[in-house]
Amino acid sequence: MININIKTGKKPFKRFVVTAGFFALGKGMQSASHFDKDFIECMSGFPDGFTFQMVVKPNGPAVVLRKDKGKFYFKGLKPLPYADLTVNVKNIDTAFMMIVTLIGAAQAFAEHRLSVIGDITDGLKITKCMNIVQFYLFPEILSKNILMKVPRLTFERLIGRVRLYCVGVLFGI
Amino acid sequence: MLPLYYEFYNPVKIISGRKALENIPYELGIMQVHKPMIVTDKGVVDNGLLDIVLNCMKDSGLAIGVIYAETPPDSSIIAVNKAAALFRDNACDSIIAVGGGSVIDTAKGINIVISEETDDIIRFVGAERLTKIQKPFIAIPTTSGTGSEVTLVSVIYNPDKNVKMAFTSNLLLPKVTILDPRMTIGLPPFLTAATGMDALTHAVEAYSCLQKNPLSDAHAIAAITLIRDNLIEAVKNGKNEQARLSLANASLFAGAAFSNSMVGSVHGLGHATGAVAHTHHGMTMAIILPHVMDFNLEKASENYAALLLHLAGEEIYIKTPAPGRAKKAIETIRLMNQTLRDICGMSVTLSQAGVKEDQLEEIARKAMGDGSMMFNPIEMEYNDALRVLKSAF
Repeated sequence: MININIKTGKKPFKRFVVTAGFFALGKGMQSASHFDKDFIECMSGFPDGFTFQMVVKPNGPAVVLRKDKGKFYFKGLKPLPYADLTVNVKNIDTAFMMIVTLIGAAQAFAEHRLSVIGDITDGLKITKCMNIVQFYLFPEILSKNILMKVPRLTFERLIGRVRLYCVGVLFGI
Repeated sequence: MLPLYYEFYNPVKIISGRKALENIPYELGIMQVHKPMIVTDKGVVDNGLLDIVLNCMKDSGLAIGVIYAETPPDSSIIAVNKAAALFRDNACDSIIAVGGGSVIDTAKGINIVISEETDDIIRFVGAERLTKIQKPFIAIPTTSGTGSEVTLVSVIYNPDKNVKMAFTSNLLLPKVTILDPRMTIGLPPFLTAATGMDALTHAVEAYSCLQKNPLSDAHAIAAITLIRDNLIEAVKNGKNEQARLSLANASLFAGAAFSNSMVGSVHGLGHATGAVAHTHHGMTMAIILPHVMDFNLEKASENYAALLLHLAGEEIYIKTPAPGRAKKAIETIRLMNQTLRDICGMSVTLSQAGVKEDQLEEIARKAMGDGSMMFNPIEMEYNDALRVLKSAF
């Protein structure tokens, strides 16, 4: 049998989960940049106008953020042609594993499942920022899969988690 | 245990052994280039190493386009731009780097400027910014430590901003690297010791960091075994060609290992110590290594225990009860440091190396921004880093 012009098909479920996860991550990072002091300290080195995107190769989606007036703002799910820091996720399955907490960002970097285009130190800072948001988004039973060290859930962080769930992931505030 | 996923990449052709340098014309011929630029530094010229390389190229019909022998101890963008202009002015078609890490990094920088057709290397700082296939490049290391001859990174100093900039891309890897014992035979005892311990640190971190894998492990173990058997001998008797060649190979294996499995907090703290206190890189690695291993014990003890066999040999491994092997491995490295101190005066504490106690906080702060910290088996925060530095002080 010889087949020609085979269409490779799609992964709609994984794409849906990743898109929803990236939306929550983007809004969550925007929200955390307004109240979490560790997050604010981490991103303090980025100049205003700094753009960051995490892009799933080869066809997206992406999570795009831009720093303005000291805060991060979620700029959508469509990749930019250029960003100051781009983290490429090599395939949708890796992005899916990250979103469902089967693998953390540090492990994914170490395993070369992600590639960075830009300053490596910026990549380290963004990873720390993402770790903070993932700590808020996921309960300890899940976040311990992806974070090397799970921070202690203080009262302040509990309030932050409630804030992120109630308004952060929807409105980014 | 096999990791669930790993990648390993090392396309560099490796030529090792006596008279290996004589293959340069043949390798250039395979790459279809005829007019190489030689990048080196004053030390290499003064020690007669460049003459050895040039002699090996006699009777080949090749022309050397230009020899750039002004590479500074810390590769800088000024040197890179100046050398790249020479490459263009003399219509060269390839690069041969003869020197240590700084020379090889400068050659990688020249290759970026030439291949990307730019006058401003800063545009390409960071990871994976390169887009063009680079010019054919042969690396001939004259030290045995950095592993730069098989790594995808180039570190170049920017004097305007007083920072070291890292350029990383698979495209930066040399096409060929040549290890010839004649190139390292004159390395003084202290540099032999410090660069050897640098290579050992690469191997130990590669074996215990987040992305260790069977191929990086094989390289790391080979490196550690060669260092165990040859470092002290090469420091004591620099003329021993076999020991020299073994260390050159160990450095290369360790470089290939860490280039794929990454390094961790020893390098994070070591880079910061070098930046703040200007200590020798290899010596700093040697000092910090056992202290970071102590810190990592909780998660890395199984890996460290396995390393004891290669660090200390079968007899000590068998005699040491399994629960004590990880600590014995750390003790073995401390003993190596102390032996090197006795033979050639290498410092074993940060205070001996010239670090001031009031610099430790700055070093710890700076280390928090180093990319290597992310790949350590245990997350190291500021207070942890300060504690490790104090114990190494």
